[in-house]
Amino acid sequence: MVDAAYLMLCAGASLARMLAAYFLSVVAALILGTAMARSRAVERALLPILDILQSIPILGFFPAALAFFVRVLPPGAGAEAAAVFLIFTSQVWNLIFGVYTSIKSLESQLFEMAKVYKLGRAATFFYICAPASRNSLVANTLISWAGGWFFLTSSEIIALGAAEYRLTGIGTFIMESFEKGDVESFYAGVAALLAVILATYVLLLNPASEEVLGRRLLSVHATYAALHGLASAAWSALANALVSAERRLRAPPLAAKIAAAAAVAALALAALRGARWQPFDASGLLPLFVEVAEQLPVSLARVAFIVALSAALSLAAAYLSYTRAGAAALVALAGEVLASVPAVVWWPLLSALALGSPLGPHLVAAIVLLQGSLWYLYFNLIVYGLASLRRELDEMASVYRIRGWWYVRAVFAPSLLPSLTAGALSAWGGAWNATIAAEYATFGGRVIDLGGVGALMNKKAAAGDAAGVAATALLLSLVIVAVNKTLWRKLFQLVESRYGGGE
Amino acid sequence: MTPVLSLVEVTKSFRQNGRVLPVLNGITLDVGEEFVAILGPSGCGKTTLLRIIAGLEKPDGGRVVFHGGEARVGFIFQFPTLLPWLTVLDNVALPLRANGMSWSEARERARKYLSLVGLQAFEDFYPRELSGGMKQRVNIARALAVEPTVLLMDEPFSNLDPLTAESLRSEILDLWTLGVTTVRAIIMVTHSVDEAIFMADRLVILTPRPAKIAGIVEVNIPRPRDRRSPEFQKLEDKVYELISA
Repeated sequence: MVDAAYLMLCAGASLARMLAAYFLSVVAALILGTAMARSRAVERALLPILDILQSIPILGFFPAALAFFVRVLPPGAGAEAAAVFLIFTSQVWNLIFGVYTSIKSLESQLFEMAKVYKLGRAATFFYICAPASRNSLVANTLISWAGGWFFLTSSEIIALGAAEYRLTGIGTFIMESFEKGDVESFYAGVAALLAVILATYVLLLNPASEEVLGRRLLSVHATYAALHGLASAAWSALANALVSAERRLRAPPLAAKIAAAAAVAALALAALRGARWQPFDASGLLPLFVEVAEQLPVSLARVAFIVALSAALSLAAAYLSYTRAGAAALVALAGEVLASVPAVVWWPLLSALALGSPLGPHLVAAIVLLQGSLWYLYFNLIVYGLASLRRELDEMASVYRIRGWWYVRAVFAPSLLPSLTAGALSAWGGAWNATIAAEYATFGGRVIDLGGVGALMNKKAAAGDAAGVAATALLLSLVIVAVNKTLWRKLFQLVESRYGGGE
Repeated sequence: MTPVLSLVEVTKSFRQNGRVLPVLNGITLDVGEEFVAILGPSGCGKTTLLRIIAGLEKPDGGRVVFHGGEARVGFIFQFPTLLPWLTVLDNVALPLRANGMSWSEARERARKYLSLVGLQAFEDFYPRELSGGMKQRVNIARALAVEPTVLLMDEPFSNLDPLTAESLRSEILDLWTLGVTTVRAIIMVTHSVDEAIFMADRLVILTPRPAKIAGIVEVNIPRPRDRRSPEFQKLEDKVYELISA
């Protein structure tokens, strides 16, 4: 029997977690993005750090983060905070970069205007920086929201050695139903999850992107309109209060500086308290290095294959939604919902496939990997790529009857190449992150281990070795960053010089 | 002449590829209650001088002194520099709001100055819905609405079509001669000798970089000025001589 009330509670709890993380992401993106765009020093300090953070397998640091939060906060609150933090890390990077580039690309004259007319920091933020970021925040939210759901369930059931934390939520509900063999509840859970995801898109995100970006998407506007009214009233009240306060205070008051310093000190203290690891055994580093080096090629092959497949699939989807206007809204919605299906749900959902044949687990792993990477490419092409197609080129193609395959080869694909490479870089990072969910799975008392670095991290987490997981993730991060700085950078330069910009 | 502001030995240099590039080489000038045009070859630092007066850049040496209290400056940018997400009214009201007025006071004042430039019917429009000339009028209204003592203009007509530019010149002159604004002095940077003689009381001509004052020419022709009159032509020749010297 499906416990409908409990299911609703679980779905609500997960949604609340998502909203909390998203709210934090937007606040962080606005503050950090603005600071980076407006201050050369902050830009120099943060840009390389964020560049690395967004391309490394965050999931690998999760056990360490969990251990940290559980130590700093009471265990229940700690696990909750760790879950929100994990979702946050899956949403925040592209939002920060979106805000940063929007403000960076404003004409500098606007800021001179602000200076001449003595607009303070608050006024400049609320009337110039924040509105300038609005479009890119909305566009990036479509990606971030899906990314959040993808990791949501991974964050609800967390085993760290012997200790296991289970948060009330839809992910936990689905996994527990599956473990108990309650097929009915399992499918009800999956259906409820999909319904919630679908509802958030149709009721909130799609109307927002229709109104802000002018893209046609399947949407119902009433809820969004009501929420938007509330949010903008709150936002302008905040703007008014801060602009008035700033005017009255003029110089940043000493009290505020002291408060800020105290907050930083408190955070640092908490971090120190949390970071009291078991002393790390440096002699374990060499064997770890060998282990990672052994498993790396396996994962690398998978990731490379998946990124290539993602590129092909999303190009096809972009072409379909470009040439068939009717299909566009449907393709987009299908993408939004599929992109949001949490990684760990695929295994029980496709258990028949996974256990049916020796090739089965690899197929399911490929689906999970695809899930973790395809959407970055897909959204990049749909949101930015299609917008960069130039009408004159289309008209030229139609005048000279360049159609079908030749159109794709000579006009469509080259025009999309800059956003394709940008998306592929994110997809590459996403695929590495997804290896942790794809290469190793336990469900219904069975363990599937496909080898690779992702599986290695899982096995270390299962053994309760948070430091080992973090060290593995760190090694892997180094490899990824090295590849980004060499191979990807070359590729970007090539594409930018040949296909980027105007004529 | 009661000076409104004084420039005292203002110097400025920029750093470019590790080399020091002197731009302003000791500019001293008193500006009274008058309309001053700053003329000079392109790249000579006229705009830099204006930006220093506006407080957008700090001089390396020398001072800018505003006489008689607070320096309230209006700046008409070369491009309209409007915020695309605010209405015409709020674009004009924003500097007032950010400096302590409530929105309703700020909008009230903004309305007054929008009607002065003939845009009262367009207050709810967004910048993208306006023509280039109308956007530049909003830029002017915003500068006047802060009720400045000094109005700075950086080639304000150079990005408009000739007809629009001409009618905006006359409108600014009307506002100036009728004294309906709080402006006591106007400083305009321009590269058009014709425009300078047509509008200003005094022309300050700068030398090529590093700029010094090459000469000051009084324009004693009653307004409205006729470009084809002999004294206009004579003055024009004199200014061209100073510039090319």
